[in-house]
Amino acid sequence: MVLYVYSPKWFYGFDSIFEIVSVIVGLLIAYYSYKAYRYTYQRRYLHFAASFFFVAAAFLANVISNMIFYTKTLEKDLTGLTVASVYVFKQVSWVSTIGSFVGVFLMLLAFLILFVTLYRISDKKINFLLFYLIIVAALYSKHSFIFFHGTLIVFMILICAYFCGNYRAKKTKNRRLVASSFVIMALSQLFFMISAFNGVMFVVAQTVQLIGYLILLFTIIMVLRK
Amino acid sequence: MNLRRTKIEIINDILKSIQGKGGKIKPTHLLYKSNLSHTKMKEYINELKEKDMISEELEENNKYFRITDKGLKYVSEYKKIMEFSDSFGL
Repeated sequence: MVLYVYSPKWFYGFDSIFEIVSVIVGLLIAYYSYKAYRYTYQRRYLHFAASFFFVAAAFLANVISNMIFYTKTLEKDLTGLTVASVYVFKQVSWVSTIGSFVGVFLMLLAFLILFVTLYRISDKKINFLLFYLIIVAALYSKHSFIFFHGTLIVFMILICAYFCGNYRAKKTKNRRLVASSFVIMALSQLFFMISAFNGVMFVVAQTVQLIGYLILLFTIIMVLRK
Repeated sequence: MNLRRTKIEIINDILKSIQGKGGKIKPTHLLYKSNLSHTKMKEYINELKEKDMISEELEENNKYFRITDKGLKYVSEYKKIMEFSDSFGL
């Protein structure tokens, strides 16, 4: 049987709960950025909104594709008659394959859009090439969990560099929070890569990622309270 | 330190100037308060009219610019938008 999930059995469902928090944070940032676009008509707010919308959509796709493995019914079916368990297994693997690919592709797309928006890359030829590379990366990531998170780390390092530079330019509390959250999220990707060899690291990775998104949530709340 | 105003700062300054004059202002007064050239002010005014943030009206043969509800909402949201933009370096 192919290993579809890296989560230890006792953590089943908890990772989905963590990811649902990330969905909420993504949607909140996307909503407010879109609202800023409606007021300013500046496209970078629209692109920023799109990137976080895709982050939320990617996490949602992950939650849906992973939840299929976490139901007790499935466990029972897999230990039952061979015919019944194969039927369930085939159904689940089809849904999970599509869901996983969609999650991977949307996450890579989200960070590509974020990177392009922050660094103000407006050349359409370069954007097209980067988009093509994302498709290739997403297709390869189907076979390599480590490659997916490694690719995300590369994006995140560049994005962290931007936010850290933003903080160095003017040291405000919110800028520091944003920079910190992305550094923590980048760190979580490293733990995800290690989790391919050690299930417990998956728990660490999910926890660190959650902390990153919670810091981002706190930042947004601080902004919207003004 | 960047001394040049960004576009959204200029729009906010224009709308705040109109709001500060009771919601209605003469073009000449707006020109002084906005600290823009006549050409630039005209560009911004046209843009604000297109976006329904201000309206133009005639009163006793005098032209006035009036801030709309959308314009008032922009002024109140401006601070949050600036903080959001600043936090994320947009």
